Amino acid sequence: MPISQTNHSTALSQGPSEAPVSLSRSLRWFLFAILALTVISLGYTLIARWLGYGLPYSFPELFAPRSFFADFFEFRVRFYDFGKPGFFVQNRDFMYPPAMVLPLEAFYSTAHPFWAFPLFVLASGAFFTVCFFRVLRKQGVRASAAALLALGVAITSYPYVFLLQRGNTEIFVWIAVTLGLWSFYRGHYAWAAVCFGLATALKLYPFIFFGLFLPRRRYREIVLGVFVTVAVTIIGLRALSPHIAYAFHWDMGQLQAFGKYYAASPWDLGYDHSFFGLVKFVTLPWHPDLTPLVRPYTRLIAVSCLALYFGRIWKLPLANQILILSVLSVSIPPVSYDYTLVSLYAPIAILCILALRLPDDKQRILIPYFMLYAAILTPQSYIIFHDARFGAQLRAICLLALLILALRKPLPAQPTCP
Amino acid sequence: MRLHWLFSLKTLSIMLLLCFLLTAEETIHLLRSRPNEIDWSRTSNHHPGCTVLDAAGRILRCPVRGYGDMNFLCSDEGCVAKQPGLYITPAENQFLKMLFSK
Repeated sequence: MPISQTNHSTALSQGPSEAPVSLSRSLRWFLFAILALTVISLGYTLIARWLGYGLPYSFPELFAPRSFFADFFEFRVRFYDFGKPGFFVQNRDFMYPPAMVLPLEAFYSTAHPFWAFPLFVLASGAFFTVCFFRVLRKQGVRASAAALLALGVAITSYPYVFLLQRGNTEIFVWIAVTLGLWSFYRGHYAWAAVCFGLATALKLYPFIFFGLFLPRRRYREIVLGVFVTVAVTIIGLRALSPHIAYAFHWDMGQLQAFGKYYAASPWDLGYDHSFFGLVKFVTLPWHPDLTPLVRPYTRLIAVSCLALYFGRIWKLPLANQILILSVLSVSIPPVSYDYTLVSLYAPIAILCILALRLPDDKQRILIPYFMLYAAILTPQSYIIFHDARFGAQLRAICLLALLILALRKPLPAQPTCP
Repeated sequence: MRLHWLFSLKTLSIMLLLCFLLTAEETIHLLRSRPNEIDWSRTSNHHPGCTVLDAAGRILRCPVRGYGDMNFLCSDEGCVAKQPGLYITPAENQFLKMLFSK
């Protein structure tokens, strides 16, 4: 059936409770793009494997021996010593804010942490897929079409598969940020503040989402969010040691290791979609030491973001604000590996709702957004030069384009709560 | 040119099925191959089955179960996955030291 002849616009005017609708034109484009790009990526690696090209050609995500579940597994010795002096003296650094010990300890205190954690990640993916399906159904989408889109987004999710393979703690941030954004979108501001506060305590950068409250003069919620951040941080420090000051200084030292070993290094550059990663990519042939650049870059980004926020983001509709802040949260840190892109799924759910509410003649507004999203969220395993992956640099460029697009073009008719 | 059939639910369903099949094949191959199980005693001095790629003998190309060969950066204490390029950056050296020093 031609897209223009779908019953989409007619049914929308009748409201979501009327006859079920099919997917709108922009959503079909999006689904086609993510499925096609994933088939190309997986097909490419399959052929490379058959032809014996070796790595990195023969595996669609990051592969290094010992890398599977490494980000969770590497803490095993440390967390077996939780609450003892041995916890603080370990080979690898613990480069997270103190609150991150709480969810990690929750898993390490179970009888089978190496089953419990992957199952938790899988269950989270399934939960959000079902939630997305239900959101689509509530918009009046036919069950088969809603299932097709929800399953399509789930099966092609490169950031989620990467997160699952690494067993990264980003899962906790993802859950908190997604629930926070959804709560905000639905008008549950206090819950949103709690979720953003929790996410900020776990990984600092989600503090950027407090920027959603300011234009709506929701100052009490900001105070609540900051209180949650501080409270959870103190609980994390107290869990580490009865001497909170000692635990705090120890954690600050651990966080500095991030700047020392990762921030300036081109380590796994093909999987680092940060804007600073583009600088590393351009300067790669000379392999300079970029450590002196990290601090000026951070300051420059902070000033630019503030100028952008008060100069432009403040005046934009909610959907634009959510999209822009989500993109910034995953692209402005000096290092941001591809699993952090899972935080972009809440904005895409909002874009999908918008796509279902727009008439056919306005669908083209959303197509560039969806195309950029498709390039960002699929493996891109075929972007290899001289045996090195550079898919993340394409993602960084697409994130930049998405940012510019969302800044320049206000999305039409602010969707109300579903 | 009429390309509407590309975006029909039927075509999209077939593409989704293809994605499922490719993902399933990839997952089954991964679980069967167990690529994590490699020779951890491998060093720059002891590296059976590997090809030396640089004059210093620190960059080796070694087999990984089920996925062909890949490059490793080695010291006399152990090996890690090599970052792209046949040169050793200060960051790589630092990381290798950190990994095996303590």
